[in-house]
Amino acid sequence: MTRHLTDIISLLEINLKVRYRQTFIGFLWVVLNPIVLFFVQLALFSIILNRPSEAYPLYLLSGLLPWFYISQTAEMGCNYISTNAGLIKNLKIHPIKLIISLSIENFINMLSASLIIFFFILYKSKHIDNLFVLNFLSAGVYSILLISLITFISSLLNVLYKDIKYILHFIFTLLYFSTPTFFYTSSLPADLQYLIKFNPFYWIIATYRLYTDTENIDEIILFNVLIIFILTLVAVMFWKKNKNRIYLKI
Amino acid sequence: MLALKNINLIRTSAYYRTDTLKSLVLNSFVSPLKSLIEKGSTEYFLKDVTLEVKPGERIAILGPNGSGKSTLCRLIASQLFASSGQMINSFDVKLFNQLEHSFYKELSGRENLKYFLQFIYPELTKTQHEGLVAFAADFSGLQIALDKQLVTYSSGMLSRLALSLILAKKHDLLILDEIHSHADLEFRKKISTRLKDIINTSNAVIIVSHFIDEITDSCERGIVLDKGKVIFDGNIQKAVAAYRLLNGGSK
Repeated sequence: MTRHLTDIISLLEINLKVRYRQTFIGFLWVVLNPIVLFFVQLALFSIILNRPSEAYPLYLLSGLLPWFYISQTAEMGCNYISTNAGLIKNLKIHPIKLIISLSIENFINMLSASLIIFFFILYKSKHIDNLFVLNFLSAGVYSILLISLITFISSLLNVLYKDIKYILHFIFTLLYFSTPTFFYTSSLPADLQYLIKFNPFYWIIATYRLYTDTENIDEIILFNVLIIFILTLVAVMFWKKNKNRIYLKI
Repeated sequence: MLALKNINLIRTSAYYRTDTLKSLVLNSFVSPLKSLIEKGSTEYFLKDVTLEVKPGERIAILGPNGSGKSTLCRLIASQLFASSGQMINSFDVKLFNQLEHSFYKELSGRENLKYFLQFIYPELTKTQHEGLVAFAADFSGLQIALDKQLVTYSSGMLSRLALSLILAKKHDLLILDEIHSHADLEFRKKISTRLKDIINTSNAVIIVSHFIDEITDSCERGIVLDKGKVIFDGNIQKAVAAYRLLNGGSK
C-alpha cells in the first residue's frame, strides 16, 4: 500500500512539474481557463436566467468548476495509457496509478481556480460559508475517485478503439447542457426534472451542492454509491478480461 | 531459474472486435448477422515456446521484426500472460525497452534519474537511491547538462542518460530490448566495459538487438525466433548464422 501511495505521489509531483514547465506562465494558464469561464457564465446566465441572487455565484462555482474538472480530466486522460506506454513497460507502473495522479493533479488545479473565485465571492458578499468549503473539499475527494474510474475505463477503451476520445468529447458536450451546472433544476419543467436524474453527472454535481440541499442527502449518497459500485465493477472486469490485449497494443 | 514450457500467446479476435469504432459500426450495419455469428481470427504472438534460462547465462534473442522478440521479453517480465503453457520464474526481472523515449522532456536529466530509479528499485532506501543517482550522473559524463531540461538534449545525450541509468546497478535477470546506442564512440567504449561488468555481475542477461557485433561480443547463447516460434536455440555463432539464413543472408 505504501509503495502504491509513494508511486502516485511521485507521479503527481512529476505531472505538476511538467505542466508548469511546459509554458512560460504554466500555472496561470491552467487556472485562468476555468476562472474566465466562470466569470463569463456568471455574467451571461445572471442576465439570461434573471437570477442575480447572492447565492447564484456559489451555486455556479459548485457546478461549473467540478464539471470543468471532470470533463477536462476525462478528455485529457483518454490518451494517457497510450502516451505513457514507455513508463508502463519500463517502470512497471500500473495504468490506474497514472490515471489517479492525473485526476489529483487536475483537482489541485481546480482547487486553485476555485479558491480565487471563492475569495472574490467572499469579498463581494462579505459572508464566509464554512459548510460550502467543507462540502466542496469532501465532494472533491469523492470526485477524484469517480473521475479516475471513468478515465481509466475510457483510456483502456481508447487503446482498443482509437475513436473513443472523439465520442467522449461529443458525450461531454451533450451532457454539459443536461447537467445542472449553471441552471437550477427547479427552473425546468417537471418531466425534464425527472429525466435529468438519469444523467449520472447530475448526482455527482449534487454532492458539491449538499451544503444547500440537505433534504435529498440520502438519495444523493445512495445514487453516488451505486455509481461508484457499478464503475468499479466495470473497470475491474474490463481490466481483467482485456489486460493482455491492452498490453499487446501499447 | 526461468523455465518456459509450451508457451502460447494467442489473441482470438471476434469478428466485431475491430480496431476502430468506425469499422465496428460499419460491420454491424453492413452485415449484422455476420458480425454476431462469424468466428473471429486467431493470432499467434508466441507459439509453443519452450526454453530455460539458468543463472550465469548471457542470451541473445534474434529474429526479424514482428517475430515475437519483445513479446517474449514482456512475457518473461510478467507484463503479458500466456494463453497456455507453463512459466516458472525465480528471477527478479528488469526489462528495459527504448528507455530514452520514456523520459520526461520537461524535467532535467538529474530529475529523470531520480524518479526513474525510484520506480525501478522501489525496495531501496532514499540514501541508496541517492547513491545510484550520483553514480549514474557521474557515469553519464553529462556534467552541467544534467541539470538542464531534456528538451535541450541530443539523441546521443539521451542515450547516455538511459544507459547510465540501466548500468547503475547489477540485476538478477536483466533484459535489454533494443537498447540502441546513439552515444559517441568514446562513451560506447565506456559503456562496453561497464556493460560487460554488469553482465558479468548480473545473474543472467537477455539481449534483444539487431547489432550482431554487440551480441556476439556479450552472449554465448542465441535464440532465433520467427513468427512467434523458436527456430533455433544454441551457440551464438550458429544462432547468428540461422538468423542470417532467415534474412536470406542479408544481415
